[in-house]
Amino acid sequence: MSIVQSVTDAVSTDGGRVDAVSVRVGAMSGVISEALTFAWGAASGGTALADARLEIEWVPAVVWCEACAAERELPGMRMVCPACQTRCPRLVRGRELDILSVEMAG
Amino acid sequence: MNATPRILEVRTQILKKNDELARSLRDRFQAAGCLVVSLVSSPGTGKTEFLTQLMTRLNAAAPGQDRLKIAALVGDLRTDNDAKRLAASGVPVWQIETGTMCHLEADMVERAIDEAGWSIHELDVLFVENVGNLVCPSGFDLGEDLRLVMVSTTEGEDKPLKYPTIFNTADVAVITKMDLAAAMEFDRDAMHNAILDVRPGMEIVEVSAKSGLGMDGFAQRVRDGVLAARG
Repeated sequence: MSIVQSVTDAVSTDGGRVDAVSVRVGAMSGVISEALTFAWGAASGGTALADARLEIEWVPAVVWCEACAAERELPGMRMVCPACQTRCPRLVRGRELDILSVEMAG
Repeated sequence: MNATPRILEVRTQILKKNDELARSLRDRFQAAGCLVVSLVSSPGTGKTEFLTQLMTRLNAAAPGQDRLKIAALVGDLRTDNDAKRLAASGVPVWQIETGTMCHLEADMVERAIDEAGWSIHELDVLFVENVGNLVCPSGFDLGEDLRLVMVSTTEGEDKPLKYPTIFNTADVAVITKMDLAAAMEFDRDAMHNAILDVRPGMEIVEVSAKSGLGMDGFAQRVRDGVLAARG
């Protein structure tokens, strides 16, 4: 809910109606897409974003594996290289929690 | 009228407002020489008991050292039970009643310090006990220097794997209720491995607020942190 509120706060609409909001959510952001979608309807009500579509771009977690000297996409949340099983502390992608764009009604 | 939809590129971080306030709080705390330690865990892990015991130790004058000036903020949905328990340590406590909010945010910390009438310049350590929740607090920076994520020996060794994000945003993992480890058949290696799998290299501390195991050591760590914060 707080996340949705932050979106409604962050999007300045100049009084116009919003058709869609597109966000980017990383696997390590702590936000679950399903929960965000669920909260969207409830928390956007009464704001300029009521009835707006929420489009979520999901970003998988990617670490830098020292041992493989390569970027590796993680299948889950363990920061362990799926190829060589080494623990990889360096997260390259996956913490994103961004608003990308807002589509205004014409 | 333009019939085609207008798409505005926004490209902003959703939690930017909280992040910016937390950064400004952190700067203010550091300038004031006040060490800020936050605690986060599931309900029932033992945050309050750990903090009560820790503050009792810190509130006593250590040989050859000044008595530390400590205060604590505690977030709770509805009750002031935790605030009362913490106050038993003799330290000023201020409760943030969060109502329907399941976590603390930076502006709540800022407001609470103000409402409590504390000056951060006069404090050596400020503790912030978050609402019992391992999910929502993870995204919200509170401006703390040290975030402790706590998990008890009674909770199951896979907890870090279930809530990896909070482990990823914390600095130290504190395993509580070590006095129950044998009775719970606590698998120490499994817990350590789970923590290190979701946060490679994470510092792990084992304590029992009840028996006192690890508590003096952790109190000393906080004292060292205070000296470092004073610069």
